[in-house]
Amino acid sequence: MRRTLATLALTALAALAPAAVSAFPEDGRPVTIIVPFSAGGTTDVSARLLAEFLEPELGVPVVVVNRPGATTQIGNAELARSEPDGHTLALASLPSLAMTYLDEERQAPYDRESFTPIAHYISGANLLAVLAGSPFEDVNDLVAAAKESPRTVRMGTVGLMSNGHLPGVALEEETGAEFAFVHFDGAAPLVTALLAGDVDVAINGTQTTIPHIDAGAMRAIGFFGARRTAFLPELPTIREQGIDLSAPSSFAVIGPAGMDPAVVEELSAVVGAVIARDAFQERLTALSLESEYMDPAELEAFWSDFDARQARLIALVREEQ
Amino acid sequence: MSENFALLGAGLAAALQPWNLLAAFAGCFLGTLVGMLPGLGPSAAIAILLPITMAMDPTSAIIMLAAIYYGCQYGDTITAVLFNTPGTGAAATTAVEGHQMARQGRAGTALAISAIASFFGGTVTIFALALVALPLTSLALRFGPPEFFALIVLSLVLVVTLGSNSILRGLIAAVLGLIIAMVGTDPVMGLPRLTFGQMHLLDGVAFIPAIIGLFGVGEILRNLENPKGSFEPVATSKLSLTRDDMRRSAPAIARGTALGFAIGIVPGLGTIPAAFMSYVTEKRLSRRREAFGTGVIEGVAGPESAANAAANGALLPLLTLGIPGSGVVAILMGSLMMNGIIPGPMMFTEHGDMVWTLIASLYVGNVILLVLNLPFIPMWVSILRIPYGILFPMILGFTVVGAYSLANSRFDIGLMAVFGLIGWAMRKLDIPLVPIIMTMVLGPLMEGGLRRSLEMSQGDFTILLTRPIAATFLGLAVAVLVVPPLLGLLRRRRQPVETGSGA
Repeated sequence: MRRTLATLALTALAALAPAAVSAFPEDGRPVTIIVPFSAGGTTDVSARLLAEFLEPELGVPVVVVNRPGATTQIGNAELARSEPDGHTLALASLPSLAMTYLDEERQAPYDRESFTPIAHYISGANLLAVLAGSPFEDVNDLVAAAKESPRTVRMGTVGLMSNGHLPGVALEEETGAEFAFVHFDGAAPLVTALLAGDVDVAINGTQTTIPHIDAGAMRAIGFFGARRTAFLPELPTIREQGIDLSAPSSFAVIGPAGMDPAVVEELSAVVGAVIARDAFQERLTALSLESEYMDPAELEAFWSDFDARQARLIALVREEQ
Repeated sequence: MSENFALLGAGLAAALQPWNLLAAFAGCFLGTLVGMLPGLGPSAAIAILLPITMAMDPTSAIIMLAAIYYGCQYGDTITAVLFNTPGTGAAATTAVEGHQMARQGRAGTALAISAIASFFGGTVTIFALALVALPLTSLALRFGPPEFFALIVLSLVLVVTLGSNSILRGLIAAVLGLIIAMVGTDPVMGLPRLTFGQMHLLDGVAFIPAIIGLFGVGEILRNLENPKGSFEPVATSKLSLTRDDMRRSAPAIARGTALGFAIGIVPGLGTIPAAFMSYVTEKRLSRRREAFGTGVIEGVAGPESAANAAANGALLPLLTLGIPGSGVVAILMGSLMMNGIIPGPMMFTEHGDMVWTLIASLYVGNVILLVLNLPFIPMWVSILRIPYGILFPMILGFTVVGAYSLANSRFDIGLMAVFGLIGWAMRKLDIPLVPIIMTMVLGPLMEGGLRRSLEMSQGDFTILLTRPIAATFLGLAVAVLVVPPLLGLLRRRRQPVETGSGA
């Protein structure tokens, strides 16, 4: 009897085996998502949320590992070195990742070809914030002032060559205006500087700006996204204000180069299914984040577009120096 | 103002619920244990224990986190005093005098005065916050990049002139620290600087592995040279605070509290400069200046109260602008955010009860720490009875774990080892360690402050002199450098006349 059961089980397994497209995920072997930032940040939180929902779908543990440092270069390098079997992935911040290999001065041990696009996950953008009493009512006021007397309008960013700096450079390139950039270390000192009047305008994230807008201390005059954000629906994009420019930033699930296309498709589909779920969306909204799914092919196209734009801006900054 | 007190009272009442008190006790104890492991500071402990607290009721969770924070700081003081192995910069100052006291068999006294000084610094400044939070808002905003730069220049001048018994040795240490601080990505061009092609150095030398190496590993290497050990018998491990100890400590604690609070209010400066400034102030004012470095109790009491006062002062930007003033406050804020409270200027009006509970819980953490740790001090001190042969490998093991765990990076373990050798060499050459720590912390801040000032003025240096606060600090810095030698010169000129007339 026992023997028959065992045989039955084996037959059943054998029958199932051809149904599985590939050997992924290997039974009981965890999938690791490398987060190239420290624990507690936006990237980390969104990776952990994704991991929580991916785990039941994949049927193996999904572990988030923080490998912070060198503007994501350390985590990215680790991903590039890892086995392309689908068990090691990373949540990449596209602007940061692209920056590390597009700027040759950084001597990153990898390039675009070291990675496999899997799924676009989160889309966001910075905004332009001014004090409530500022004379700038919209982006065109700001640009006009910076054109009239170049390099006098002080524009604060969250860091040199950062995701907050390059949109400002793009604005200069597109309009011919010249700003006096002041680079801070992150959002907290930037917000302080804007409140103190040490800068005239700040390129900052929605999360850290909205509380000050609600308090009546700041105003937003333009959004760098390709479309408006649900968190500030009244705020027009820069493009809507007649300047042909958008500078969205993305979190995407990526893997090392050389992955089996079938595994890539399977992973991407699972991520897409998770993102589509209401329970997931609810949690994401609570974190003030907006999702945008793209399949591997769409992400690849988006990524090369992004690289081209980013490379031009980096070259512009390096030229100025 | 009176409204603030009422809210603080309500917060205290919430914090004193039995369940919350239990959370505070548990947090304090856990925090002290974690803090005793070199390299695992408050940020690490809170980050590790955050998932546990997420399952708790928000108020209890915040109280527990605050208690962990205080416990950690005290745990760090314990290892700083006992083994000269501080895991943070603030405790590094305590280690200077505190460890010397331990070597004389007065470890219990040093730990007791640390607990009392922290308690005093914490208590007074919590009430100061409730009293003056709003009027000081504009002050915090007046501290732009030029003011920041000028204040750091003043601090560095004080470090070099007062930080050690020999200006030359202090200067060597300070410059070494500045060179180490320059490693990383330069802030003007974004190019790698002194990184030797090492990707891991693009963010600069990781501070905590460096400090554990300089102090912890360096100390062990030094002790290995005389394996018999040099601690006095531990018979004197009780908390023998004499009347003389109290008399010396009281004014130091009062000054440390005031100084620490003032420094803490400046967003981004933190507890390390506060502790160190208090140390140099005590040394400057002391009548037995030469004795500093040999185990002087006011050299423990002042910095400990200053560090705690600064930690509370750093809450001010949080209270008034919703900007977390320190890394730990940022993590506490993270726990608020998970409860749907977004930090910002409206936080106070919209969620005042929660915020004041946070502040009250910081205070309760302070009290519990004193109550819990004073009786435990003999136990901590008795760790010194463990033979070196067992103790040192244990400490070394913990330092490796501590260095690795910050960024899960093996590179940091190697970094720690290199700094261990540097620390050992500096002990051999009698070069003070604390100025290195100060310049490693302040160097990048100074560079950033100057760079931002010049970006604001488009390269015009007069921005440093036209803003009154900045100009005052720079003036003081020049005075500190110029006045003592001038006085010395005058005295010398007068002396020959006197001796001449005498002869």
